Amino acid sequence: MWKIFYNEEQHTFAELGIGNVRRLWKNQAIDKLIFDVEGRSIFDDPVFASGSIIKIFRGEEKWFEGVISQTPVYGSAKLENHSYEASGVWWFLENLIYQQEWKVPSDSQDPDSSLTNIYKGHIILGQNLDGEKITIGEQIADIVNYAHSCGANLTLGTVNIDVHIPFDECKDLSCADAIRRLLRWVPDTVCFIDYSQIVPEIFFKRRAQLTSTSIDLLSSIEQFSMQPRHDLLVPAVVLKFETNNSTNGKAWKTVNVQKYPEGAEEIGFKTLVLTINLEGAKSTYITQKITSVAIETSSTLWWTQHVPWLAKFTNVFIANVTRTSSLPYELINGSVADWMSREVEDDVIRANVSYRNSDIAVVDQDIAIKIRATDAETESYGKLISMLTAETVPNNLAQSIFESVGVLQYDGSITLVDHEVGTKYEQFLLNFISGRAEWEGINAVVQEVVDNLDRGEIYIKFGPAKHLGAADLAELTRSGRLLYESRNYGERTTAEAMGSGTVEQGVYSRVEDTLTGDCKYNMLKFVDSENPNSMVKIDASDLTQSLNVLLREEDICESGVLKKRFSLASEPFLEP
Amino acid sequence: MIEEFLCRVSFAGVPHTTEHDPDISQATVKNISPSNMCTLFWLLESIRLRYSYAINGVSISRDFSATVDVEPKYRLIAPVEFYATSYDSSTMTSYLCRLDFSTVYFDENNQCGVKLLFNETDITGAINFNLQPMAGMQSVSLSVPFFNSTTTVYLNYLASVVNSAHINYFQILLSFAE
Repeated sequence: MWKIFYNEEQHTFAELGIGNVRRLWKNQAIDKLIFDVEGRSIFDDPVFASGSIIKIFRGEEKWFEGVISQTPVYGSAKLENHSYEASGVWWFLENLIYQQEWKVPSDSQDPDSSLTNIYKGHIILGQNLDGEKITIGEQIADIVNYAHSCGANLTLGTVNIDVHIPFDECKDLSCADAIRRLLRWVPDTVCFIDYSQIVPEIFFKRRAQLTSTSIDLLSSIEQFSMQPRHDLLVPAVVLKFETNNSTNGKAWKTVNVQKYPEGAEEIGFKTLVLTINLEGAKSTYITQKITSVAIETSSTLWWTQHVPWLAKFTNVFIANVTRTSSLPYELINGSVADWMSREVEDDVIRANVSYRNSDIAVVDQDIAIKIRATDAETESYGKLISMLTAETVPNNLAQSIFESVGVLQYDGSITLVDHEVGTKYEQFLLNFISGRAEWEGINAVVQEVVDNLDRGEIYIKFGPAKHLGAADLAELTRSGRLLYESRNYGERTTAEAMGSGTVEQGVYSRVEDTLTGDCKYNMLKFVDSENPNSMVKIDASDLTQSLNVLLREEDICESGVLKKRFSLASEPFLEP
Repeated sequence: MIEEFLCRVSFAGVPHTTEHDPDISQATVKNISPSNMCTLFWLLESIRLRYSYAINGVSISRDFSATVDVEPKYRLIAPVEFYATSYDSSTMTSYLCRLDFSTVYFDENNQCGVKLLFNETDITGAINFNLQPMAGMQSVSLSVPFFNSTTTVYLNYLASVVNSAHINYFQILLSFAE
């Protein structure tokens, strides 16, 4: 006895004039219940409001639950009726954009602020919020749970697809699209819904996880077709993972080959070869070459290098050296950054220097140089600024795909008549008895079911999922062609753009400044630049007496006028 | 136009070889500043004396010059003495003018002085017209400007002489090289 529960009331079909009831189920698509309400004028109000919930009970067990999605009316000279289409709970998945949580700075103006989670339509399938790879099953569970948390009237039943996939980054997919995108990797998966629970449960089962049932071909059958799909049978699955790595902008690729069965040839007719791009390791290093030399204040050569004009002199003597730093090296080239863990100090080195050449002789001239002292030795220092580990190659993905496409599948359909409608054949693998012997173990996956409750007919379409685009080799390769490496899988958990990092520039670079102070000249020679033979030479060593030669005022007569002038003259002394 | 020259001089503006005597009392012309002393020494070309006086009813007028023939720039090495002398037979009087730069005098304020000699004497020596009052003689005097300084001329005479001696005028006219 079929009953319908609507508007908190339960009715028999007859009570509401419901007839021509059909349930349409397709794998990974909205299951629908279509029915007519007879005896209704096209001008009558609909019996079931659009958007309302109906529940169909078979005996005491809930058999279907859905939302009224279409309410077409039909009228002809002979007949008028209302038709209704109720969409099963997959409807929720089709009409909800799947969003994932991403880490972002809590303060949009401050990238270093604490991270908080926000939902984004930008999603990475195969990854959890911690950035870890998750299986298809875990990802589907997350999608279903997300939909449930958003108010979808369904919960997760069983999903046991323990297959990892490459990160699949995409935007603004519905939950259903996201699930279908995942299930491309396991095309032998059947999705069905158990409405018997208060909240419908959705199940995802691979072929190997389904139980089989047999249909006797000698029973009431209206039509039957069967085609072994040798054309879809592939001898091997070869996955070529191309990984794009880069370090400091230098990119290179590596290729990992995963194949199943092991030992299979990579090149061969009908071999399913999928090239999958994976984001490789990304790293950015900063390197800084530091050149430093020992500070040798007792070395005349060292002083000459810092006070170049000293090189003009011979007999250079350094005395009374003082320093403001005790670090051993002078920074010559490069900048010392904090990340090098090296010390840098300004070092003011003072000394008294005496020097002479044929033109000048100076004694005890104060001289000071300012340099950057450091304990950094000459070497190239490096620091990792940003690092993104490569996406790992999914284990056993080739085997998983092979399990879907490496066995002979049978494509066909069957219409059972005079059948008690109720059994949901999508939950089973089909075998056929009373036919050819091999049909008894084909374990065909059901892809489509149409239950006609009134007529007791069940139409079953089995085989590869044509409507999902996995019906031939070319379609199978689509799963790889449409997949690009995820470029943001690191960002989801860190809120930092991949490969980004703060480059800490060195702050201490070479400085050199020289100050010269008072000095005592022994000798000075002034030479006319245009006439080198004309010079003025003042040499203290010419003084035969210990006395001072100073500018002294004297009187002169200039053309009869008494004036004064200064003349360089010594103190008077007595001739010895 | 003198030829330009430059030479080191003493504080008094004269060559170091000139004798410097701090006994200013010996100078007959005093209070000459060093710069004036310098000009006087290096640029003086001639000294013209014009005077007249009367004594014993006799009036006498003189007009003569004392010169030195040394170009200014050579005065460093040549002796500089302005000298002129003559004899008036009608009155049997001889007269003389002499400016001697061989010694300059100075005081504690570095004010300089030179010895300017002027005298006129008769054969007996009874009359003496000069720059110094003579002991035992009476005199009349007249202040005379001398290059921003002042000197005094005296007409000395014996008391027995008819006391009609007086100085009519006395001029010292200096001429400088330019």
